[in-house]
Amino acid sequence: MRRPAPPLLGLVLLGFALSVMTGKLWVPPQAFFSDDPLWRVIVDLRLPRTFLGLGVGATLGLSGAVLQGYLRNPLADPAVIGVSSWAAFGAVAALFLGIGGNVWLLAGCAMLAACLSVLLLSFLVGRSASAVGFILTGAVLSTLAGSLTTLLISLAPNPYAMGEIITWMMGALTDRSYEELAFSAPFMLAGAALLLTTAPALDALSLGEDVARSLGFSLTRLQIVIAVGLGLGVGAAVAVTGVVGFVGLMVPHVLRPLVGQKPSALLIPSALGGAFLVLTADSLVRLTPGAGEVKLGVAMSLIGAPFFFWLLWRTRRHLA
Amino acid sequence: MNALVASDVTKMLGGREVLRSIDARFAPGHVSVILGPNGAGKSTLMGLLTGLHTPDRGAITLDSQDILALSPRERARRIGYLPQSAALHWDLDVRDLVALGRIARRGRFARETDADCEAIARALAETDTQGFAQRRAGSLSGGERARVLLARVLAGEPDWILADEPLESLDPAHQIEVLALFRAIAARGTGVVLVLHDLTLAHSMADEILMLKDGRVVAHGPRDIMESPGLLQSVYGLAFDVIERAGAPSVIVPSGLGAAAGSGIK
Repeated sequence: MRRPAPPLLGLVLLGFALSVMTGKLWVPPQAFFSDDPLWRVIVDLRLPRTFLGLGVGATLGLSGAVLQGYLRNPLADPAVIGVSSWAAFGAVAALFLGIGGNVWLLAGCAMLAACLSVLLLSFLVGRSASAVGFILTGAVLSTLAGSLTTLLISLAPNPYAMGEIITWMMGALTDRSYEELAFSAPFMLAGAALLLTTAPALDALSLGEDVARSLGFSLTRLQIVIAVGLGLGVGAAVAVTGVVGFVGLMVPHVLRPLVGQKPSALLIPSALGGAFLVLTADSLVRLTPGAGEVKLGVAMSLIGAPFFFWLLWRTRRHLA
Repeated sequence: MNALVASDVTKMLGGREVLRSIDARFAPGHVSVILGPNGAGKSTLMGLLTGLHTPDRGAITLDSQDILALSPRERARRIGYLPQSAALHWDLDVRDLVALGRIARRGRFARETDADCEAIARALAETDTQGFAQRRAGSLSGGERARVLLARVLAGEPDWILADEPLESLDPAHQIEVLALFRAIAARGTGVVLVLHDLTLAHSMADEILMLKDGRVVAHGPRDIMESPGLLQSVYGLAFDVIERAGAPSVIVPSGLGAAAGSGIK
């Protein structure tokens, strides 16, 4: 498929419409064009949630595609290099300290931790800027963030704080308001803009680091741009939804056979694919029977893990 | 266009002096071949000449200007580099792969111009790879892939082409073809610097030879320096026979193998 963007854009619009209409309360299309009181549901509840789903999905899809291109590894994902886990740790720290009730403080802590993790990663990897060093250091940092988060949970001052932390960590778009949208959208946009500028360098990296450098690319600069782009985008996304995994892993994988393996050609389709996946999944979790709903992060893992196993199985069969 | 010059270049890697006080001048329009045993510092010298490594002492100059003072993009426009056993991490279409050679010439986010398309088509034609321009690079044989990777360098139309063991995975027919192509490129005025292991091929097509051993220049001059008695033995620690064909030295083989290959041992 040489021009994947138009059909993907169609899917995103479909996901958007689905997200606005679906829920415990079904909003039919005609409600959009009348004075129906359901209009308030759309404007106050569904629209911010839908726009957030769009932004978070696009950010995670794009981040996955950029990281896979940069690390030349189809298993890379923002979670792999620890950005998501540090953002989550930042937010959990805010909840632990009792300042998580204020969305700005919670989000600020998540983004700050994401940016710090990326800076720490760059500092530890140093000037070598090798992909292997980057991914190994990221894995260590990610494990560290996970342990620190667990430590905070076990030290939680009261059961209420612990419950709040665990609920938040499951990742969801439930009850998100325009405040969260206004806070996170500019950072997700800025992150996406930075990440999109890496396209030509990612293509050059297909031929290895030496060739990329001989073609005039500075790998150190590329690393910084990716680090800041991820810190802003993924930090803001995790701040408002918690950890939603597998999007950055799955979407580029599904799209690669359709759009080809050229890393630059995957970026925008992956952003659109990520948006579609999160919008659709977030619509489906609202249909859970009963009063509550399955958390988005949980649903994504339930879809993502079997996908990952299928991928491994297919790769093994392919290699055999 | 002036020469690519290494002046008193020393390079340390891992606390070890990999290259010591290298002085070498490569002329444009010539095919220069760097020879030497494994670990002599050939690939490190190539890395320095392309600006990928920074010398610990001395400088590499192009047109009397330090190549590290050039912007990375300007350097990429002027020096095309084909590394040893080039990686291919994603299964790109052959044409997309060759088009990567144009990145330093066009704006990074600009669309391909007619000049880009012409240069890509020319590079594909010169390397005899236009037949599989629409195929995936992963489906090519080792030899086909080596030619496609060379086409990527040619598409950039650099003033200098530096190739580290470009004949590695080629059969003899394609080796001869690719060497003829390097000669033709040099005849247009492009400087060509190659690292080779095949002494016969190096002797048959080089304008000048640079011999390295243990990070030092052992010999530098026209290709007939390879015929100097004892030079190859001192570099490789192995006796070589230089066999004449049609009255001129043309085949260089380790002693013992030469006896079977023909007469006229020097």
